[in-house]
Amino acid sequence: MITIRKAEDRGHADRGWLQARHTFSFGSYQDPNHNGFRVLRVLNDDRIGAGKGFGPHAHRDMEILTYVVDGALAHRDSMNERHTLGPNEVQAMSAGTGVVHSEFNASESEPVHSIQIWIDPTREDLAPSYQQIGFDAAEKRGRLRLLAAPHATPADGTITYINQDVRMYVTALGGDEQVEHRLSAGRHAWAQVVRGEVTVNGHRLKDGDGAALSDEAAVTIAGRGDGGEVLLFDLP
Amino acid sequence: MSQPIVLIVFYSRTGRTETLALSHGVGAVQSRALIRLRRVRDLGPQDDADDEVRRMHKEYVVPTEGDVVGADAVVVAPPADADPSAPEWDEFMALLRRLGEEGRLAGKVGAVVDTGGEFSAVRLFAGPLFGCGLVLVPPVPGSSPTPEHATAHGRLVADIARALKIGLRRAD
Repeated sequence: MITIRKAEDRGHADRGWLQARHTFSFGSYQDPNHNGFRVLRVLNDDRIGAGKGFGPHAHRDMEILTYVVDGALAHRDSMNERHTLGPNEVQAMSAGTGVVHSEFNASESEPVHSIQIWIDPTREDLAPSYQQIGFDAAEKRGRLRLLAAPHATPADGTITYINQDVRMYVTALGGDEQVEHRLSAGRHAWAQVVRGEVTVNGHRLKDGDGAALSDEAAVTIAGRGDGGEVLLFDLP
Repeated sequence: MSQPIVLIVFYSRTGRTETLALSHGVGAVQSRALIRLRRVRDLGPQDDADDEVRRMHKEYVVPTEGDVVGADAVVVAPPADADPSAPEWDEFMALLRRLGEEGRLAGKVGAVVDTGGEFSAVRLFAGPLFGCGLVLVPPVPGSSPTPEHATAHGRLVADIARALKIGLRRAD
């Protein structure tokens, strides 16, 4: 079964400097029909104006993944981590018992487009942690590049580790390319298009669209037109 | 809702006091409080502001009356050498005095983050906060101006704010 979440049906927050689209309930956007999918709790598609961002705020008991599509984000937190996150990088922050952080567009002239994902952890009161990895753009071209997985998952290349049985992949597909991901029995998936156009198990999706998959043996993602970029979550 | 809201108001130019304020906030979050972090306004020309100060101007807003009224705990984190009459603190302390006179701080907790200076800032700010009607939570025993002690103090402040909030609700 596949359920499409169209980009235009998502929640919208307009703060001037921020144009945010919420796939699931978040902040002032609350929709009981879209309170997450499996352990995915938040999936925000943020476009942040030059020099603007989120001042210091707190998180607790949440696995937070951030993926930058275009531009660069400056991150600072109470663990004394100070980093800039750009395309072909992923940040994984485990809020655990509590983290205070800020996220700002690192550029004073260009906007930044980022995707932030919140995932329920396996348990509360974990020790907070921060990880950030980078990878070569070629590693996502025409194949699924694993970005985040549970601790101790063997990986071909550097990945981030999270406190939940979730795997997050990214793929960038040309119009004539496709990838397939097999789903084990009882597993579910979410596919989120972050750029361009694709099909997911035959369903046409464009930038900002998402798809929930349950009771499917596999997820097949194919590029359309000029192709697209997709984040894929393999979920319990 | 028994989840307390802790407002942490600080002044910093180098980032040192900011770090202690953030650490206090982490402690409050560890005790499952909601936090609001605010920086008091700089006064005078800022032509010589360095990158740290410019960053803080971007990242923080100044505390408002709504922030104070909506909080269950009001925590101040002044630099080690500051006193409540310092120009940067004058506006915020005047706001607390007015709200105190109006009885709008009743039932709220107050605290001063230990930022050093032989407790001078703690001693100098504690009196005025007490005078506004806040229920003061002292620093943890053996306190020093470290992130670890600020975090422990944050937990204590949140716990007491929660207990006071629940107790006052039951008493109503």
